[in-house]
Amino acid sequence: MKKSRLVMVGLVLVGLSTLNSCKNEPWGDKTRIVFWTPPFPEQETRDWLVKYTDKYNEINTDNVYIDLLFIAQDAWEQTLKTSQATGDAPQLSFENYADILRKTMSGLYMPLDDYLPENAFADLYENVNEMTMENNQHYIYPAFTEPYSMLFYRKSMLNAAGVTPPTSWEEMYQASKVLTTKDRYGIQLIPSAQLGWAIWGFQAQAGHYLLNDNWDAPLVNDSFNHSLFDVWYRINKEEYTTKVAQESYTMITPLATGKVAMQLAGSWVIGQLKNDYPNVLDDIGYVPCPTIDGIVDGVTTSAMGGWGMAMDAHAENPVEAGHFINYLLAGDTNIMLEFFKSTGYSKLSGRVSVDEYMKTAPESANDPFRKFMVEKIAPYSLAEPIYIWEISRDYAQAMESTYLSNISIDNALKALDKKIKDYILANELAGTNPQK
Amino acid sequence: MNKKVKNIIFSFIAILVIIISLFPLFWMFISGFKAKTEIIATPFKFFPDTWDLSNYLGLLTGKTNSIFFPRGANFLTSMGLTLLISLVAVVLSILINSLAAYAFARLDFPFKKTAWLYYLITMFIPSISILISATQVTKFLGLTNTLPALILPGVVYVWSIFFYRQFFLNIPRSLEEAALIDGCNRLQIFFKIYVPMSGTPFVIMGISVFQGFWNAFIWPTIVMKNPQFMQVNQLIAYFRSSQGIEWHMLMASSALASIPLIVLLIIFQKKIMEGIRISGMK
Amino acid sequence: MTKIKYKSDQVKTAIIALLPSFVLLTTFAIIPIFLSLSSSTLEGNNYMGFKFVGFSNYLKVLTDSNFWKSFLVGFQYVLVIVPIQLVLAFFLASLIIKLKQPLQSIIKVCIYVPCILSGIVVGAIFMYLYEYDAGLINTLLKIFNVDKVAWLADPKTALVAVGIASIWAGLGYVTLVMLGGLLDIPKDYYEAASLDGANIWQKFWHVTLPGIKNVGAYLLISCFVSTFQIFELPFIMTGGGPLDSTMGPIGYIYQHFSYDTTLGFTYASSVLIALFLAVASSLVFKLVNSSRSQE
Repeated sequence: MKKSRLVMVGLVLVGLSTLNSCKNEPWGDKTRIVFWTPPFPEQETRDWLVKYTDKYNEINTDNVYIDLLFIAQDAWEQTLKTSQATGDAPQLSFENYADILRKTMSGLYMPLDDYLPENAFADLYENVNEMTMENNQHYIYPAFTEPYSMLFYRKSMLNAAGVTPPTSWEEMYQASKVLTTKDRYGIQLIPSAQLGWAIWGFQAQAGHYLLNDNWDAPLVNDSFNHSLFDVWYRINKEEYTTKVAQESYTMITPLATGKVAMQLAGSWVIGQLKNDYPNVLDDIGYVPCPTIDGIVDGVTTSAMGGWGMAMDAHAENPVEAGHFINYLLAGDTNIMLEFFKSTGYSKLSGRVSVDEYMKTAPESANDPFRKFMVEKIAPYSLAEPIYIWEISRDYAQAMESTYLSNISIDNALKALDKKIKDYILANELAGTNPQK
Repeated sequence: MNKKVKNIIFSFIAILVIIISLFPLFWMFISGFKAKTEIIATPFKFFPDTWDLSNYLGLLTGKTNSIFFPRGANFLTSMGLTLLISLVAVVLSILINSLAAYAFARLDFPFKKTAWLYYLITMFIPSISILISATQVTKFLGLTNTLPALILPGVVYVWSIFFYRQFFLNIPRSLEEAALIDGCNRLQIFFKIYVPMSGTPFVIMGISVFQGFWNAFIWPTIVMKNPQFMQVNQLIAYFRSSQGIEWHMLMASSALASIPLIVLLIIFQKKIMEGIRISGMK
Repeated sequence: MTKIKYKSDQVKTAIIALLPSFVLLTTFAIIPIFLSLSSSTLEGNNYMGFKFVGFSNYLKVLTDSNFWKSFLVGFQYVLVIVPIQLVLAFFLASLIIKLKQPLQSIIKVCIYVPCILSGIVVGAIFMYLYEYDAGLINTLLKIFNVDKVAWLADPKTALVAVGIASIWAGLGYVTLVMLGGLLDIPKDYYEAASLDGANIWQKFWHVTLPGIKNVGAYLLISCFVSTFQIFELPFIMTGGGPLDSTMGPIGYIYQHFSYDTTLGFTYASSVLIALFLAVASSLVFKLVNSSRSQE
């Protein structure tokens, strides 16, 4: 009895360990460079990544194999952190700028200046160049940038109700009121799960985020935020917006399916509309995000975020990894152009060379949305903040507490102000802003 | 009150309780048959308009139309793998824990009390406090992303050592003494006498261990990144992402994952009930 | 001083018998807890290097109002879930005793079915039941002309909503244990009480209640400890929200683990939880023991 049982256990364990080594190891004897990316909601982006990674694996002369792995967005930070803690972090990762810069302060990423040719960075627009730097070194190579606060609306619904697209917060409130009917809500504001970061688009309109340049004092308890909280409170309390969002901020589905008449969203949704809802495309209008006073040329209406590649600070093959970054993002403009085309020109390139091409090529030059983004929104958009996540979370919660828990706006802002001051002290943030 | 009337009332309440216990599961199974467009559509429909098999089939064949499901993962394979892992874990758990219980129940050795305390203390450590450091240990042993990493940390189950020990203490020493006279050593006694008698506690604890491994979520999520080796509950959680919820897949995958456990419960119901009764007695 | 003689064959056997579990326990439980303890006194990571900061991480945790809020939420979960589970379990168990076969066996298995499901599955089912527009519960409310409730999006209802799911998933086990306890009370006690002229209430107070004290104590402690650490249900149903109203201590730790750029804070908070639970369970244990010894 004992012997047979032990033998059985032994066999199973052996079986398991052979399962392990049975893994597909397509890299053979090439140097393996692991590259993590989140599964972007757009199939086109995922396909583009796979296509060019495969291509590079065929043509590169460094004898490397780029091992592309999609890691779920929800598990991204935990998985990355665990791998960093155990020393198996991927050498390359595809992340958004703010996350990379925030984590660079903890030494997690490798400066790229030695691993990419000089002209790669020279090819960047100045404001984008700044968005990739910390302590005068580049830590990201940008793939694309996107402003993410704009107002999209159903032209037919607004026409029928005799409403013009709002330009100020007050008008946004009024329009939401008029447009709410039995069958739909006037507007979809930002769903609770994304409020923490998507509200940066509104905060940007003040010209700054929640901390001052020296990171020693909060900039929250002021009339700007008071008004923002107020309009948010009224729209929610009076139920002109979806109470429980069924879709994330990143999806244009509510507007496309007519559940709402207006929707705050980022520029990427145009790609979704073109690819998934072409029938509705003609009925979709867009204007800059309403501001406190209305829209005037040159006024900041949105925050600007973007995604790019970064290299782990402990990367074993930084030179070869740098070659791949250069190939994919900074090299042949056709590769990036294909990306921008597949996403419906709803994203912007930080590279002058690529952007110039899109400005003149007939297909993209006359794309009305691209023009709108490039001329009216992007130049005035503010790069995202990179301070600790708790501050953004607390701001979002303070906003929601006014209508979910009936806390007065004054008290909510006062409490938030105090809380941020506490964080500044507890985490010794004063003077640690790496971008100033 | 009339005895018969009382009986009817009690039976009625009992049936109500049964319905409340089982209805949510039933609801989950039916909802798995609803297509993506139906599942959260209004107006509300209790039964699906068309009994759409594609959710269940998609999971079983690996061709899900899901945006969130990890590339390279296959739900059916995952079920098989989770089953394998759970079974291996059960065998190892029974073996290793009963051996320890035998030592504490029947053997005399120095520092026995201290050792018992050592084992006992681990029952009071909440898993969250050792989760992250356990990944460091796993990495140190070179086991990251391997199947043993999913099994080994959960094998020792001190509660079961308790349970087995209690059971062993009730086995008459006379049997042992007879075997000793016959020339058996202690280990042989364990395998030849104690183990064959322990069918009931082994099954009871075995099922509990199986359940623990089949339902595992947090540990596989932080230690297994390879989509080919992900565990079932780890995969189900992908359908509920902050970027959106795929209700139809969530229901279908939850339903599939529940089937083996329900089957186990039905087969072993007597032993399970017995085990619960005993566990309360301490 | 007499030396205890240990029979060497027993000692040898004990070593072999204990070795596997000892090694595994040390590797995956004892070493990690020491690692957590030591890592909680450090700041940094293996890129920037580590710096010894003593109790500074603990201070950061203890001065974070969200930490205390998560504790409060943990207690709220216990208050909402445990008493209801215990009381319902008692009534259910009393009911089951009075049932005839086969209903009695059937109900025992049926109430246990929810207990075998994973937290993720239970959370998924209830999330769907609670869905705002098309969930079954709100649909039923509509039929009775009651307004839809945002069960999981309203801070006033979210905790209770999660609590209900937890009660549903745990009641079977608690009931069956309670049943075992009730069945253990010798029938003669009841007969003797009847002979003494006791009524139903007196029988309950003087026979039933003392009889289930042990079982009740076991259930109280184990339910308290596991409910306080509730994680998978709120994780999948609400992610801790809205406004952190469903974020218990484990959820709090996991959130920091996910978003902090270094791990010192997470380790410190996890050690604090372990300390708290150890102290709390021994307190409850003492309380229960002392009331037991008073009989």
